[in-house]
Amino acid sequence: MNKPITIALAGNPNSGKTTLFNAMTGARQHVANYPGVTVEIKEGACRHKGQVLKIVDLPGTYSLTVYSEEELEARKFILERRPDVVIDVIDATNPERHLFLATQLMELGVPVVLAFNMNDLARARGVEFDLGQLSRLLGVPIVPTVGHKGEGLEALLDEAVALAGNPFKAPPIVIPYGLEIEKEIARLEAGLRAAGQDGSRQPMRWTAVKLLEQDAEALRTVSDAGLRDETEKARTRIAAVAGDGPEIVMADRRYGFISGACQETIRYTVEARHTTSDQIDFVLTHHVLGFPIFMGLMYLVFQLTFTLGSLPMDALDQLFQRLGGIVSGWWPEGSESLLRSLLVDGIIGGVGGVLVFLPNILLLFLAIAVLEDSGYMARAAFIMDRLMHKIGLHGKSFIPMLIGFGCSVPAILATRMLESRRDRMTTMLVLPLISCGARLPIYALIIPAFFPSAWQGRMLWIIYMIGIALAVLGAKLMRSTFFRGETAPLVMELPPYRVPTWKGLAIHMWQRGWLYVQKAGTVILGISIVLWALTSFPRLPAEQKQALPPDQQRTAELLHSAAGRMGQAMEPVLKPMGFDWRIGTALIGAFAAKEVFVAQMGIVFAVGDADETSEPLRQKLRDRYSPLVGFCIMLFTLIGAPCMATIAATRSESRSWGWALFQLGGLTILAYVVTAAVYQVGQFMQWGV
Amino acid sequence: MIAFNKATLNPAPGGAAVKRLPLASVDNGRTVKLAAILGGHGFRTRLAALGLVPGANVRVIRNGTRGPFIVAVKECRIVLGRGAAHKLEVEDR
Repeated sequence: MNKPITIALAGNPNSGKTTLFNAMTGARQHVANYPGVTVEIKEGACRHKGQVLKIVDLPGTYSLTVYSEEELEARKFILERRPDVVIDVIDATNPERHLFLATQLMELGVPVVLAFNMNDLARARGVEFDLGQLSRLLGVPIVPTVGHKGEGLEALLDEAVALAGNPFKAPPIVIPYGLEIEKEIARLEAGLRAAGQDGSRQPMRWTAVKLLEQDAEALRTVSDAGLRDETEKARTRIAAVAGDGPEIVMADRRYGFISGACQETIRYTVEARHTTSDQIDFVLTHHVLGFPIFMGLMYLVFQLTFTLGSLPMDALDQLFQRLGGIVSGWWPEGSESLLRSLLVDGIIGGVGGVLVFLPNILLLFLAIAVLEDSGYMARAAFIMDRLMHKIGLHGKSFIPMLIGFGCSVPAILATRMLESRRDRMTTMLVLPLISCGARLPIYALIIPAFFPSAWQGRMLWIIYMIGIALAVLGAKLMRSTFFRGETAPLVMELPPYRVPTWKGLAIHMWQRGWLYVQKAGTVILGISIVLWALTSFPRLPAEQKQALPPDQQRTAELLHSAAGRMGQAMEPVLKPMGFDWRIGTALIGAFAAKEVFVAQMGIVFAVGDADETSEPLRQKLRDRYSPLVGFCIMLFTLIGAPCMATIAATRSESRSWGWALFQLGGLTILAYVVTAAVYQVGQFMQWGV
Repeated sequence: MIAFNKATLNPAPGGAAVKRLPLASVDNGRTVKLAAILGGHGFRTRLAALGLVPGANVRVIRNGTRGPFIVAVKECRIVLGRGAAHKLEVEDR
């Protein structure tokens, strides 16, 4: 058997790259784990005519000049991991702009195949191609494809495999930059050679071009002071002749080269593109209507998550209850077994209590996937830019925040789309205030327990809004203290609206949902066992237990256990917020993962396999606490102590333990102060006591 | 905040007067030619990758009185923040 061929997929954001990747690999894909790579790179496998292909989906980029981390990682991947072929996915409805990246890939000296994707759309819009001629002019094979239908996939992979077998079939086309710049490139190439670079890792011409463009990464690799000096002089000379910075002049020459090739080979017969999109945009990004429409959509997302999710949630809940019953049945009636307690109360109760929440999580991720794949997400950033700018954030910061409603961890990863570190760090640090999906079970438990049904949807909305408001204030505070300075100007492409594909939505939803299931199966399983042990040991001596009336036995046992003791020790600190040791015990679990709070409350109140739909648990909560305390529980878990996974993500993304601990400490203190204030004022005003 | 660039009159090679003005002050629906991009190196490189280079034709799709606005360049729609739109100088005949 042949050795597997590695194919990297490159392309602009919104080129349909991911759709093509999904069509190639189907469900056989996963997030690749390359050491030191900070951007999510997906990897999948497929078999093509007996040949195993490893497909790597590089992050979407507009160019290979280092400006964002996506660009740096895409470039590093190509240079260091040397894929056999790079497929550059081009949006066939807009080839000129998309070919800009292709020119840079060609300069990089890797075998390139162009996929003219969304070919059907381009033809429908009256774009006519002579792809054979364009392919000759550019010196690379071109294959028309339709990603969501899988058309052209065979031919594309044929070309890629053929090129991998014979990478130097055709000499690469050299993009001409004009006499003045070519002179400087030649001079720098000679300088590089004299400085001992051999051009085996990356072509000499590429390095010289990037130096002239003042590319940060290229400059970093050149240590020779003379060469740096030479680069600066060359830039000055070019600027003097061309009247603009070399990076602009060279970009212009690249576009010139592309438009020269396209002029002869691409004809636009109708100018119809974007008209429907523009019409939709007229309403959705309208300066008056845009914001209310956006808020309405968000409200709809939450309502759907809550109402539509409740049916499968009840079904799952019953399933786990039945499972608990079956397992209990293995032991004779009335017998006491530690193992039974561990299985039923610890594992089924803990993990089940988290898994029943999966339908809500999936629905929320589905809604986010629809917003992303349809192109609305970019509009949301646009609509929010004015508001975000006021609090010192970038319109794009809104996208990680929106993802944050699902889970803070992918949201923190998504902050990579922000180019300036100031914007990025600010967004990252306030992100946990955006109420994530794991906090929903807590609200779902508390709200129906204390508030009338007419108020339940509104209550949930209020909690989310408090989180958003605090994130806004937090961002403003960060920007006026640690991260002063101007916000990077907003420049962003608005992709045309598209109808999302079922396959794409399913894959998006499932990948994120699966992470949640994995978390339930690993971290939360472990925590459930630890927490069960903490609430079961040390055990109350039998004779002491027998001396008590039956309804007080369980409480006495808990008070005697490690968790009970920890909760009791914390009680004086928690008292100003209206919390007792039971809530304190559950909060210990919530730090490990927010949703554990619910399961832990179930154990503390001895209602067995408790989850957020558990009416007995709600009844006990109602008996013991006031609605004000219920509200304070939600408030504290909303603001305080982000979960361990979030802190770990902040640590790895900010590359600093300092910021991660700052986030943890800062938010916990904030939560304490706010919750205590609300409780004290509420007590004084007699609100819901 | 960057200073507002006053519209300047530059004698064009052909002799006719070509007005230079910030993109931010161009009305809806007009097509203008990009003349210069002010601002930092990173900003200019990013714009170039999106097709915004001097000489490119830019059509203003939406210029609301406040907030960011939308332009069309090389068949795609790009949102520019107010600050960014002030850094682009265009020629209007």
